[in-house]
Amino acid sequence: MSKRERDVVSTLVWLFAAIAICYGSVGLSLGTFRRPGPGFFSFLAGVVLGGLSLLVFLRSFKQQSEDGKKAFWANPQRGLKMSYAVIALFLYAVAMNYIGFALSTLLFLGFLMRGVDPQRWSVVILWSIFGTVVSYGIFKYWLDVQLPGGIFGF
Amino acid sequence: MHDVFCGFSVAFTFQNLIYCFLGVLMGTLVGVLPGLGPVAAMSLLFGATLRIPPVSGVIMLAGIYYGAQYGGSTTSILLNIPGEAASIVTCLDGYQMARKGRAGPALGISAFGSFIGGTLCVIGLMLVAPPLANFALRFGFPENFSLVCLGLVIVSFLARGSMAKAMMMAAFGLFLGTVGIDIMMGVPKFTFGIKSLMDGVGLLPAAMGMFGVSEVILNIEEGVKQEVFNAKLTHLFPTRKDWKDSIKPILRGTLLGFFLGILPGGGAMVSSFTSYAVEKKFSKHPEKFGTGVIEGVAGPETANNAGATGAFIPLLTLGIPCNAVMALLLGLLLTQGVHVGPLLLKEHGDIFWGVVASMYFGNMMLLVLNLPLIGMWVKILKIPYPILSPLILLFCVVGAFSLNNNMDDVLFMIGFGVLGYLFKKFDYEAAPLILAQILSPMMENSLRQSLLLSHGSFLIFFTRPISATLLSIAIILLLYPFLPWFRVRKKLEVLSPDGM
Repeated sequence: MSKRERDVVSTLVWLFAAIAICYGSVGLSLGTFRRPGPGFFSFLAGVVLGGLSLLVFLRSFKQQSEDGKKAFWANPQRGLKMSYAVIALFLYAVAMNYIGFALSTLLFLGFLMRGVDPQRWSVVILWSIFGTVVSYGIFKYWLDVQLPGGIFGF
Repeated sequence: MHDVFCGFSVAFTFQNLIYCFLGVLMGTLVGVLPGLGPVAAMSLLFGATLRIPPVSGVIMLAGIYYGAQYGGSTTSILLNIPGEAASIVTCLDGYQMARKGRAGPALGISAFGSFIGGTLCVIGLMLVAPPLANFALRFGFPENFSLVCLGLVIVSFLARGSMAKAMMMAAFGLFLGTVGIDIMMGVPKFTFGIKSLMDGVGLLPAAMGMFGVSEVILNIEEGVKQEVFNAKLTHLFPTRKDWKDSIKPILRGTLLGFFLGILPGGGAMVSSFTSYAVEKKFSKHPEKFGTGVIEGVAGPETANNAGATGAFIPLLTLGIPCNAVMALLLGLLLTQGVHVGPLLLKEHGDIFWGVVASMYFGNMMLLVLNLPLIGMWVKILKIPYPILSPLILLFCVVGAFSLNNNMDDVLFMIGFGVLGYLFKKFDYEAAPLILAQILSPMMENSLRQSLLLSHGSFLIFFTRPISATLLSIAIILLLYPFLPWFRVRKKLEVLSPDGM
């Protein structure tokens, strides 16, 4: 993707977001200049966002089509690994409430250390247990955070 | 003077010394570790600070910030990877010094320079802050609005790359700051029926996501290669010649860092880059920069710590954070019910002077931590990133959860992490967004109150002298890029992804 393509894609997304923000702000009531309503300030922010998006969009056509060309993922395999990490993060957050902090953390760390950038099993097991125990100790006992117990109670 | 002694008495309690020590220790660790910046680290510990007195919380979080500047130089010199954005420029000469067998003096002068710069700037802060706070008492709603406008314009002006893109991020941040219950009418705005959004989009999940999670997932995608310089570290104390070569860069770095740190969008990063450029200009042998000259380490490392200290001035006197770190400190104080602004000095002098005094102790602790403990930091650096990154993500998740014991905060953090990753890919900076998000409620309130006062006339912003001056500067900066001789900013590349 060249810099121009990145700018075109991103500014179109921003333009859409700006229109949505302005539309939502109108729904909240803009009020008047004498008595600005709840949507007044966000409407202004939307207008500024939309105006700047348009400016960058139009400016992007001045750029050479090959300027700043780079693949979105320099290495598609690593890009996939990154995606697995993000999915794992999301699943970890969801699972924590059901199976509890300790087990979900163990599985999360184990998956990342083995599934994303594979380490030896001994290293994975050691560091997963270490990470779980240390974080449990710090957040539960030192910082007094109510970590989810899930069905196992811890 | 009475206030200064009062501040020392606040900072010099056993509890606050412990929190200061914890803060600088964690800050150094965070500075050493690539992928976790002070913003993410402060966000992680934010929940913990709610359980301690506000002055202790601010002391600890402040310690993380300037501690990270010290720690960042270690990885720059030994790994050629900047642990912190403000240490990017240290890689240029620091690593080269290490390759020549002079890692010890590089680390040593970095620690001493940071100590001198930080300490002198604390004195500067003590002298400048009270008159500035007194001046700011004259600010009303129009002045507050204009000041925030100017702050956001400066942040965008100093941004790396496109100023327009930085302003877009600021505009989006202003919108995010409006989410929640309207302060005047009490109606929900953009909450979509989600209870968690009634209090607004959390600053901390956003900061943790955009600065912590996004950095880690980007590093996973790009792969982090760690090649720690392996030679034995000796002679940590600089020689007489090193001191002779470094003293002027250290003094210049102190001045530069202090004044640049005050600017919104300024702080450690801008200071270190500018210092490097200045030292090259002043040097009799500029062609040697980049080959391992000590001036290339002494000046920037002093400037980045001085800048980190200077950055406290707008927050403590005007209530305006000039970077994402200060935004978090502002968030902490507001959460604790502390009114931040010109009245902080009068109403919460213990917090103001306590934090300032703690910086003296913090700088001394950092000097002690950084020199003898370098071996320990090097060992930590050798932990492979595929093991570090899951642990960093774990702490981000639990840190986000600990804010309100609410999994929604974790999900928001992950969402912002993905957003932050996409921002980096499409060349947008997160710092203006975070700054604008925290300033948005104040800006909105100031704008609406000003228009109520003026019966709908925008002229109120131009008829009051202070407001008019601030807005005029903002307008000049906005128009500056269109001037034909404006080329320097594009070449400087001053702001890092986390805007420090």
